[in-house]
Formats: sequence, C-alpha cells, structure tokens
Amino acid sequence: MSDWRLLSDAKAAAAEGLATDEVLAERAGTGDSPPTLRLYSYASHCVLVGRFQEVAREVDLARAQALGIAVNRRPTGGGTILMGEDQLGVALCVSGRGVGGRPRQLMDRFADGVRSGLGALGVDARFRGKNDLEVGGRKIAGLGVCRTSTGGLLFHASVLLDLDVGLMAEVLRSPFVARKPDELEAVRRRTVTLRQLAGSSVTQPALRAALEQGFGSSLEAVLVPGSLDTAERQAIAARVAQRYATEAWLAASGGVDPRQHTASLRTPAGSLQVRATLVGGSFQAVDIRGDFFADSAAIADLEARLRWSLAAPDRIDATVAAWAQRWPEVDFSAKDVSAALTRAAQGAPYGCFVTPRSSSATHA
Amino acid sequence: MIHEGARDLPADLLHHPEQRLWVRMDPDSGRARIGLDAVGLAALGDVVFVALDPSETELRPGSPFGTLEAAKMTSTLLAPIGGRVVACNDAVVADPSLLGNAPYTDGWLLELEPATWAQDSSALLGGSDAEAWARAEWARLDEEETG
Repeated sequence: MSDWRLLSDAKAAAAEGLATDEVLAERAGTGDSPPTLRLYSYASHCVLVGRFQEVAREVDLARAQALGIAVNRRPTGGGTILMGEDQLGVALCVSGRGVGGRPRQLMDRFADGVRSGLGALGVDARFRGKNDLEVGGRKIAGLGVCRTSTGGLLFHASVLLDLDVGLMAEVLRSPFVARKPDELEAVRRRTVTLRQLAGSSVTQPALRAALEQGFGSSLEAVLVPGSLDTAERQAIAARVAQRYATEAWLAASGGVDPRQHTASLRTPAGSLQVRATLVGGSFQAVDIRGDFFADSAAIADLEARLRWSLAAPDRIDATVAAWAQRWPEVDFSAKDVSAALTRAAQGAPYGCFVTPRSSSATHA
Repeated sequence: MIHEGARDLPADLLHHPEQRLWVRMDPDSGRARIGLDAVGLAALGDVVFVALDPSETELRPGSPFGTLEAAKMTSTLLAPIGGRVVACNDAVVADPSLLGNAPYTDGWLLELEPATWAQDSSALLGGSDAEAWARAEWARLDEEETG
C-alpha cells in the first residue's frame, strides 16, 4: 500500500479551484508534488465550460453576471457544468509516466473510486460512453482526464449530490430547447442526483467519507490528510493570474463553429426526428424526438452516448448497437436510429471558421 | 479510425517514442512536418478537437504547440524537435477525423524549420529501431485492450 495525500476543501472560487487541480497534476508529473486525491466543492455557484467550448454559446453570460455566477474554462474536455456546494469535485493528480492504456481504460480505472464510493451509499453506477457515470440511463457524475505538458495526469469528476435544475436551465444555453419548461424537462430526464437515489438526508460529509473509502480501495493506497505547501500555493496563485483570471483563457475555445442539422425518418414504429449539433466532425449535442414509444431514460442514454463522439457512420453504428443491446425493449430498430443519425451528421457541413492566431506561422 | 495496414510505419518517417509523434524531414525545403502516429492514435482513441497554438514562433524540443481532446482525454502536444514554426494545419483543426483517416498525409499537424536538426533527430527512432518500438507498443496496447 502506498501513501497518497488527501486534500479536502470547500467553497473554492472557480479560478482557484481549477488552478489547484492543474498545478497539482503538473507537479505530480515532475515529481514535485505527491500523488494527491482532492475532494472539494465550489462556492455556489459557478459555470465551467469544457476545454474546447465556446463560452457565449454555452452560457447566458448576462444572466450569470446578474446572478453573481462565475464563468470559467476547465482544462479537461466535455460539456458545460454548473458547480456549487451540492456538487462534489474529485481531482486525482498523479504522474502519467508509466500509466499507459487508452483513455477509456484510464478513465475506467480512476472511475472505480467514484463507483465504489457511490456503491457504499447504495447506488449502483456504471460507466457510460466517454465521460459519464450513469444510473438507469441518467447521469450522476461527469468525468474527464487531462494529460499535462509535464506528463502529469489529472482525473476529474463532478458528482451530483443534488442539482438546482431551475438555475441550470436559467444560466446554461441549450442548442435545441427554446422554452424553459422543455429545458427543465430535458435536464431532469438526463440527470439524477445522489439524494434522489439514496434519500434527501445524504450529506456532503457522508459522500466525502464514502469516496475516501472507495478511492482507498481502488487505488490500494493509504490516504493521508494533508495540505498545500508553500511552493504549491505560490504556483496556484501564479496560475490564477496567468490563466484562469484572464479573458484570453475564457476565449480559448476550439475556434470551430458548430453546425446544426435536423433529419427525419419514417419508420414502422413511428417517426424519428434527430437534431444534431456538430463541431469538427463530432457530435456536440443530439436531441431525439418522435411519436414512438420508448423509455425517456433510453433516449437520454443514447443522446449522452453520442456526445463528443465522431459522427462517422461506422462510429454511429457501433454506438447505436451498444445502446440497443442495453435497451432491447425500445420499439424501433437500431438500423433506423443509425440511419437518422447518419443523415443528420452528413447534412451538417463542416464549413468551419478557424480563429486566426497571433503567431507568425501560416495556417495551411 | 485507422485504416487497415496503418500499423505499418512509412519508411521515410522518424518517430518520437514518448510523444508518439512522427517527423518527416524534407531535405529539399529544409522543413520538417510533424503528425500523430498510429500508435498515438490507437492509445488516444478518436480525436474530436484539435487546437494548434504554438506558444512561441521558435519552439524547443518539448515546447507545447497545441492541445487535443480525444475520447474525453485532453492532452498537450509537445514539439518532438526544435525549430521555427512555419505552418499549422487548419484542415485538421476543422476536421480532426483527418488524424485517423490520413495520419501521415493530410492529417499532419505542424511544419517547422528545424534549428538543431542533427541534435534533435538523435532522439527520434527510424528504420528497425522504430519498427521494434512500434511492435512493443502495439503488443502493450493489444494486451490492455483484451484485459
């Protein structure tokens, strides 16, 4: 059993919280900081977009400002999240050297800690797609991995102890839903919280204790409570000033405009409408509707599996096949679903605008 | 997506084993192109976003020149050699599937005028060394894939 440092903090400001994770992962890569598990919460509330997302498309910035909600960008990929005192952040910072494997395998290895912790609270979560832990097709935790320039590895998870769906719908923009009631319904069918599953009396300390136990077991490590040292504090303050408190970082999206397309398909089981937002050949978001009979959790599960996956026909077929195996009772065929998704994907032209850079290099 | 036969390394490439990047030096132009090799692609999975934003015009070996998001992992791209940046491939930014579909041609990432080629290229693998390295990497990845 090896010793890992355990950091526990609460009500972090957005910039400091992000900088802490990144600096600890970088320093773990160089061997300047020990392997660390950090369990923390942000002060209510902040909105964190994914590494490549366009802030103005994801967030109602005027509303966020009016509500005093900080907006920042994560170093990890994936979608936009609302964080506060009822969402527990988990950051695992370790040297990536000698840690091989594909991202899915790395993620699965790290996610074992979260899964074990939730299991101790009576919740049976499973890994889905590339970035979610789900229960019954609904997301309970979002996951991400970032390999730093120093060879450090930051595994990040946000676990939903609870969620203010109304606030989320108020501040986050949806690419598809114009009416707030519809958006609330969409969020509710796609997410589930620990308190919904394990009872409203579950507290954040109880979740922290369960995760500590889960990670101790999955990492085969002794978690030793500790604190940041002086060098780490200085590096974090510098990173806040140089990156997370700057407008340049907030604007540092992928520079590729998303495109939307809709496809409809009549099937023996009813009609199927797919609305897809694509960025650079990948699905950013998918909305599936129609006059068919299907468990809303099944549809939410398919939409989640498709997010951030390549919109190539063979990838769509593989994703839909895996999904259909999970939900055999859905009354339309995987072939029809694949056809509708492929049509939507191919109808969205790339035609992307690439943000010019200040470098003197040319861009071919 | 990696096409059949992609495990075969083109003979004119050198490879940085840690960054899993290839380097193709063109002696006529004095420029070197850099891309992600099939081993790197297999380890990362599908790449969904690429940003190419060299921090400086003159890169040193190990300088960051971009970021990519693959199968949810984001990863910093580090220069395998030093030199002056002369071009970034915007086509791969607009369509990252080029990395998998044409890793050694249209899916290139960066073009440099090497500054210290003789020194930097000594850290790259070619010929039978590259083949031995790739075989070992594929074996490891296959083992992980099958559990």
